[in-house]
Amino acid sequence: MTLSRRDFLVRSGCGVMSAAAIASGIERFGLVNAKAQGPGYRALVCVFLAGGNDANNTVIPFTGYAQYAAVRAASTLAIAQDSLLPITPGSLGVEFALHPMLSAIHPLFASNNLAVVCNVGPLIQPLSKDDYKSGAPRPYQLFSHSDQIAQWQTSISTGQSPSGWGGRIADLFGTQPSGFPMVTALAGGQFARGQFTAPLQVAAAPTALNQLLVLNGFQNTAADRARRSAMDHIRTIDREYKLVAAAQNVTQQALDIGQSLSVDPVINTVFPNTTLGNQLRQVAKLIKFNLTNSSAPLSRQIFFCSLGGFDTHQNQLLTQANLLAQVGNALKAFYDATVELNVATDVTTFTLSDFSRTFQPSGSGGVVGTDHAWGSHHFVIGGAVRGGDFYGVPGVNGTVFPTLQLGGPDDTDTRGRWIPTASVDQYAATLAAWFGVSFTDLNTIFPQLRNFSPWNLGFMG
Amino acid sequence: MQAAPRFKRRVKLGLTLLFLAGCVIGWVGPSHSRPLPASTPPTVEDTLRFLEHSTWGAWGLDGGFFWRAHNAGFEQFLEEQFNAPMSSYPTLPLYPQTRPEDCTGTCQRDNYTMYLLQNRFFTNALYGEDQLRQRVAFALHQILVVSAAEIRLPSWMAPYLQILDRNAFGNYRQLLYEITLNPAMGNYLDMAGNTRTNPNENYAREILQLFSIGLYRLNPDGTPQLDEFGRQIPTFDQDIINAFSRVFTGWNRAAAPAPGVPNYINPMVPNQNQHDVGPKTLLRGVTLPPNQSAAKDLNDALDNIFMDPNVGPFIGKQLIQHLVTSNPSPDYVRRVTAAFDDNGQGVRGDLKAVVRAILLDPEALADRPTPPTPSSEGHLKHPVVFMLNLLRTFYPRSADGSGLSDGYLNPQATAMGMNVFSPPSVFSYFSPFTGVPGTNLRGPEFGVLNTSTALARANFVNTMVNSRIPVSANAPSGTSLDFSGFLWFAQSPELLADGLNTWMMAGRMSPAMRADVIAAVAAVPAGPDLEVRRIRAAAYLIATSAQYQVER
Repeated sequence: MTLSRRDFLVRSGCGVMSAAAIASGIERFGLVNAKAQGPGYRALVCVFLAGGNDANNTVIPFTGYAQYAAVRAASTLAIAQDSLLPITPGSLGVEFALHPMLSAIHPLFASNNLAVVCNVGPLIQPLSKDDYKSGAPRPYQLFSHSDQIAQWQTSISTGQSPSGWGGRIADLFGTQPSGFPMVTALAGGQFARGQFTAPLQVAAAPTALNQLLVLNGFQNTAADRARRSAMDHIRTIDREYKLVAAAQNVTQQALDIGQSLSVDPVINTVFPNTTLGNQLRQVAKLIKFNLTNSSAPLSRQIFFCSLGGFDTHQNQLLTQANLLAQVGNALKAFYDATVELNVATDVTTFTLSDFSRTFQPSGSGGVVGTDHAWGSHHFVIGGAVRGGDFYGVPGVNGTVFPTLQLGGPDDTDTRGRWIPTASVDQYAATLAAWFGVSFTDLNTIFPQLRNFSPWNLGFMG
Repeated sequence: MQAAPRFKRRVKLGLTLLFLAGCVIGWVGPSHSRPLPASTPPTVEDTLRFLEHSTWGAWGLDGGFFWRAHNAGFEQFLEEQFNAPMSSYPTLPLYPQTRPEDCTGTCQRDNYTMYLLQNRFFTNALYGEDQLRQRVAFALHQILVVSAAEIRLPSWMAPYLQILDRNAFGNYRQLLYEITLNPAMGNYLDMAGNTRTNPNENYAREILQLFSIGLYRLNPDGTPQLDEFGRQIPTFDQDIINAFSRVFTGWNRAAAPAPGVPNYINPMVPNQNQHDVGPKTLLRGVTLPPNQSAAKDLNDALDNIFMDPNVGPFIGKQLIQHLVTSNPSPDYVRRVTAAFDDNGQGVRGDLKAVVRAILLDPEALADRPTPPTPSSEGHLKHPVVFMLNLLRTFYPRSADGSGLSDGYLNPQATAMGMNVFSPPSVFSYFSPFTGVPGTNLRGPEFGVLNTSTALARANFVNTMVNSRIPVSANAPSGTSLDFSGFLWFAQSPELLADGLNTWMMAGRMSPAMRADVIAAVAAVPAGPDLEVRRIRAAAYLIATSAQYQVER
């Protein structure tokens, strides 16, 4: 049985995979040369907003505020219009606004370093409301956290996939000679796991880079030197046992990378001391280390960060405000750090989340919240982004922004769960194409991409 | 909780040492276990290897588990384990779904995190008599996943864990039934509240894909069946998923004991008005007639799943992977499937028969061939097995050595990639299909081995061997190791290497590794507590080695 790498990736991506396929794929992988990384430096930084961020209160119509307020004001969930941060997406011709707690990144929109991708979500194929009502194929387990998280991170909506799309991009490039993985994960998630490649997993700041992968318990004594010498030798023997050798390799890689991470680069940009701030600060340090301190720098890197707490069934106003403040401040600090490192045009940061939330609130007063929904709006930030505009696929209303109407043309039912017009595949492929993945390989990594047009949403320069 | 065998069996220590002196002197250098005639007692190393498969690790060198398995024989040991008193988990008081604002600190820790259950898991594993039940129940947890990542109250998780313990040696059909109606599972995979007008596919999909038959038609030996074009044959399609989704409609949690306090103790109950009573075509074309009750549909559907020929190879192979080896031969899988299909008395799904077949299979007990076969490569110990193996070899105690460990070990397990009872998804802590990098072998546990966790393993060994887990707010007693039982070996580097080869590695240390251990032990300078310092050096080298962490 022979499989091309593409066949193999498609099968593995779909979770449709035999033992023979695994065996032949991995054997082949050991033999083929990894695809050379492209020229220059580029990095993708994924920020996952775990729990399902309410995009309806993140990007809000300003000109069309009345329609928004009509549904959300009575419950007190609406954000007051005079507190909003207006933005003018060039192609829509009307004003929108950001949540007031996103003031840190608000200027990036006007400076064309921030784009909004509208009503994007898992899809198998383009899906109109009529299609949806008539039972056309739709992603498995809509509105379920675990399944929708998986679909955003794997870009596979037909069934389970063990590998994420960040990891599959890294698979394409293979293991680099330095042994330093292309993907670094600051948090757990399928996004970073490839079929063949595993991410480097490290702790967030303030742990120093030179303290990330450290072996404890050795002093500079003769006995400890002898013990370390024995330990190092034991790691090189009995390699006729393949599982033993594979486990030895992981420890060896950890020690090698730990040793190579010999310095803790200084980032002058001040990061907020928050969960996401500390993750992104570590990313900035790893980028600086790769560019200035590494003996074998990578020309492509992918990072994965995650912040939880967005599942705002109750108390949404306060909870989301705090979280969006954390997100905005951390993203702005990270953007500033890329400017400091002179890689602002080489680093693109983007958000993902389980799903958006119902436009119709649940509850009222202080405990008002929202339930699980579907299509969402996401931020893409960086010097290479065609910022200052909204992107996506136009829906029934002729724009990329959904019609905020309960039971309206974009609603699955009557609670305001927007049927996405743009798919995760299109969103991800646009980023991957900028990263340097060829069109052919895009269709390998994103097997559903061929169902959508255009394949590139155009928000990257 | 059982008293630590250590305390009960101190008197045996002298005898043990005499016995061991004989063993070890007879087995200097590398040795290989070999199958023995049934009438001959198994060797010490065979016994220890068998205990690596069937317990959380032999209890030191004066442990009753070792003697029982060695003297009574493996089959008799299994019978004893089948009947050992169950450690399990207490039913915890239900708390409100939304944490009361005044429930903070220890109230929050004990009622809204897995803290108590995780500690209980580790103390059960360290000290419980029902070692095999715990091993099997934890394997079943990794197959029939409910995760505390979503089920955040320990009072909601405990009944789920009790089902796994209670049914670990029961029948798989009963296990499927109890798991299906468990409210935590009902929440986790969305069967609770599933209605005829809005059926949810989640449970229907996972019970087929993960809990019973898998995605593809299997031969009894676990290899995939292929169609005339050489393609794998799916076990189900969307129509079957839809039919099972409709089967699982109409169920919800039993009456709440108080407003805001959902009932996660009692099994879910049917509401016939919300049950889809249309006919349903299930696996293998079996059709359920219309107008059946929710309970009848459920039982018929579980029978339909349970009778599927895929269950034996799909579940049996995974249990082999958890207990013995990541890459069992097709013949091994076929023998276990046969035990699942018929326990010898015409009963299908008897997990005792399956466990017996797995642990007593010639492939589990066979000599380790050179070069290794895929099956004899064994499996990487996952973090929990790795931790417990090390701890149980050296009499785990409280930090000050005066009492028992409190079992506060989950932070260490989490650092190694396994947050007990909180796997990231229904796909568990790692996938049975994970490949071993650079090989054509499977190695599920490699799914949680990465640069960060590999060093966390070594640093855990350093903490335990050279220090301890100190008393803290969450660790009322802490955890430490006691090397006193091994002092006799430490009189010479060679004796120590050989003794620990037997008791830590069941005799699989190679001559080259033995030489490394001896050299490092010989470099330990003379002085007070020389023996303990030698044991620390040797135990560190062995426990940090891949040769130790891959059990074969």
